[in-house]
Amino acid sequence: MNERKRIDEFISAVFKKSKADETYLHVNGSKRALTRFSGNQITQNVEMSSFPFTLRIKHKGKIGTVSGSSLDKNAINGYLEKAMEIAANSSKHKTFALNAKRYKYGNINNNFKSTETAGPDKKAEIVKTAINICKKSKMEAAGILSNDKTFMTVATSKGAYAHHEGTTGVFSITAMGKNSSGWAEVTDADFNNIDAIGATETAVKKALKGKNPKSIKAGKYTVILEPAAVADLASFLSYSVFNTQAYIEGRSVLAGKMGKKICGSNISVYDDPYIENGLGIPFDFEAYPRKAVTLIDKGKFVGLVTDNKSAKTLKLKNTGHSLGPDDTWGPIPLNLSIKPGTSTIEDMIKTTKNGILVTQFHYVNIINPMTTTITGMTRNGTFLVKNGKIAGGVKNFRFTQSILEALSNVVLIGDKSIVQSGGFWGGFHVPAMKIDNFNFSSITDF
Amino acid sequence: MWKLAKNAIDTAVAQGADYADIRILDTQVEDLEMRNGEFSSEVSGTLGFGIRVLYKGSWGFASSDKCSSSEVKRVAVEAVNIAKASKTVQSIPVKWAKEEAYQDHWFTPVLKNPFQISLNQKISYMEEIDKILRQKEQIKLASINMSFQNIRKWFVNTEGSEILQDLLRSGAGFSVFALGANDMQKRSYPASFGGQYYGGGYEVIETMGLLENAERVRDEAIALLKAKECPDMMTDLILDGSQMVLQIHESVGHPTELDRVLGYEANYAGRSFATTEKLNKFRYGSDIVNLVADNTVAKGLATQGYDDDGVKAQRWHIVKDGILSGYSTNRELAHKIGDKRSRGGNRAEGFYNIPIIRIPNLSLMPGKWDFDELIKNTKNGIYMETNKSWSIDQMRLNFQFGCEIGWEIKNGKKGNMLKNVSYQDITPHFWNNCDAICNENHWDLWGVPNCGKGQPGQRSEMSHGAAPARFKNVRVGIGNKKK
Repeated sequence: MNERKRIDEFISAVFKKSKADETYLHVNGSKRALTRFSGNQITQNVEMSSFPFTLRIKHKGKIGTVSGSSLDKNAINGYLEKAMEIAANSSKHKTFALNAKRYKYGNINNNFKSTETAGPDKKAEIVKTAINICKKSKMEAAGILSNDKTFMTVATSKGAYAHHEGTTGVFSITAMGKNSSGWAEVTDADFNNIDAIGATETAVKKALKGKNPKSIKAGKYTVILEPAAVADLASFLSYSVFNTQAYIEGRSVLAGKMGKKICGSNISVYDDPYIENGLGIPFDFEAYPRKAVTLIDKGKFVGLVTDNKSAKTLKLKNTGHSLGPDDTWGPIPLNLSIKPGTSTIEDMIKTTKNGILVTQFHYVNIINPMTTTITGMTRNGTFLVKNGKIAGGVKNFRFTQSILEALSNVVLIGDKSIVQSGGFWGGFHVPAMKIDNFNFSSITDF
Repeated sequence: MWKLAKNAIDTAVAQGADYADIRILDTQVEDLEMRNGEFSSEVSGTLGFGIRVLYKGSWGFASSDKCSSSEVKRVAVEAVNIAKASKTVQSIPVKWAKEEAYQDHWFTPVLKNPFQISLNQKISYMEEIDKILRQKEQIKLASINMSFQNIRKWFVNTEGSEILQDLLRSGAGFSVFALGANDMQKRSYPASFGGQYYGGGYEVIETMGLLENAERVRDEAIALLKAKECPDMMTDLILDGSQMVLQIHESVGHPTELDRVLGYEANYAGRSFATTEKLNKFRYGSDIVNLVADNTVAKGLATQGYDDDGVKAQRWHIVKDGILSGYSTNRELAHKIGDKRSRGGNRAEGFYNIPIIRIPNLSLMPGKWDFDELIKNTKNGIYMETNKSWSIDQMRLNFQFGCEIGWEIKNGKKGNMLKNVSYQDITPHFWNNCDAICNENHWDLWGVPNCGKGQPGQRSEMSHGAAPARFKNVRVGIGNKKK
């Protein structure tokens, strides 16, 4: 059966059987396949299919939530009874309100047959080619090639209905030499655009360039962050800094700073699910239309994303960024995008007298949300830049750095952006950056 | 379910599989949260199966949430087809360690089934805690949570194993956020990020002392707003048991997962410095450091009768008298360190994932010190409690961890409270500077319900036992003002 039909029939059956005052359903189905390789051979090869859903009911002002993994119509009565039981034992919910309107949503085309139909044989063939490129340079390859098809439907018994289907292909590879490694990754909704050979060649070149890395002292350096490293900064801007619930509760560095300068004038940041090659969806988890929002305009904090509840609290318009009708985390920008500049990475290298080029960060975590300080490691391609040239690989650093301080010290911005998947139907669209005074707080042994 | 499972195995064999297993999982979860007095809960039920096959030494895996006879057959055929594709890019066939076939029913010992405790009782308990936490206006956010999980797992393989396991775990905790001028401080109890978790029923929640500790923890959060910031300096460091858990997990647990060591996680979670030629030779820590893996220990989150390879649970040393002595292994990789049998470390999240090597219940064995004596014995140092942040490099060497709260130790006495406390070191250097571990009176088992690894990403659960311990000459307060 067609998957959308299966989802719709399940939703209709739930609404028909529900005795609650109001009923909400969110189905987040997926068919995922992933081929994983290491040591120059395939080590895992998996396919997964699941259609989990969340069912919420509101009855006599009280909420009951249940979730399940299977759209089994025979189990609906059991789910509804459990939801009613939970609601009966709960206290009245003050802010829960279901969307009642069926909107016309914007068009996002990130659904490709090429991705949906890429089978295990095709993926094995691509992986084999990538491994052979690594073998020629006496490298070991590890990585993944995945293709996912996802289905998102939100519906309420009051009349709201939204459905989106999307695909994502990812090829990610680490090429490992004796004492160095290089990494590259490509993400695209269209599997045909996944340039696995190009990514593999990039990873191999980085590993070759980085061999016999030197140990240099930690301290403040000019850094050239490739887009994947910038995406890590962007992810913390999204989850932590621009969390609207934290802003409302005063737990955010942005509290009381609307309209004020928070970083360099060369920085503009948006949330835009409609960006070309993006991985977004045109509605939120309450079925409200998702709007593009400017968050930072030329260094000034100018906007927040909202959901129905926070929009009322802040007396702003609902921008369609809900994570669910009774979500407690708060709306966040899932499709964060940093405005590109005009420089190439080569320009950044040429203009650097003494600096560090970073391919990728690893295990980044927030230390202090009130100062936006995060820490993490460099990984898979960290290079010393001397007098406008790459002077060789260096051992990896730990950084301990405020994000907003780093965005105040950006001297050049890349002319090309990459898409990096961010989960929850989101992704980051970010360019490379050259940043002064970036704080590397310690070094490691490789 | 047994019939469905045997159907899967027979189909896979008929398609050419040399080995096949199926796991059918029926999972029930109840998550409860009270956030500033507003209660929410979610109950989830998932049912599905995953079929794993070896075809001429290559893996294939497929799963589905439709538990019907026709779907099981379709998925078994698909798994074999995937394995055939894997075979085209595999030079060394999987070498599968031997294990007995078991027919068994194993279950977590439970006194009070949490799913039979009324919602009203749970909510009333949370309301009592909430009332204390929000008594003072500086507390802007108080969050209390409980979580219960019951997994019924059927495992059948082509070697004749037929194992049913009923696994139950319960957890609870609370956190408060105090807000001051441009500052926010957090305190949690019994641990951060969801609290404490044990294998067992509602009875484990009743032993946690949540209500009894609410006032103290709330007041500590408020006091932190006015506390001194931990200076960036070198000093002796004492960690409480809950932070030791994170230390064990990140700097011993992950580096001794054999798949990581052999590069299977190289593109994502990373590799390990604890490579196989170091086994039984490498000095990981000082000679008082003994770390024991035990998937049979009572109340452990990784405590099961059998892992997802069908291997019986075991106890063994990872570090003995300071020397690297073992790894967590599975049936596929055990032979890489010369073992004939797996340690039983292969576990999968849900029915939809393939099992991978996970950290076992891994504990630092108690030492000889009484905690008060340890403080008295420390001339200058810092005592830190409760994890706040964590980061470690992909070889598991350079780590930097933050805690919610600290205290100065001066001339053998606990002094001023310190905020924004963190410490950084290199793993073997740190463990070799461990000169004191508290005794069994201060030892507890702590549950970790959120360990991430693998592509596709999988969450796993395990426990770590620890008592407070002291480490000499550690850098603390990274990024703060220098002393």
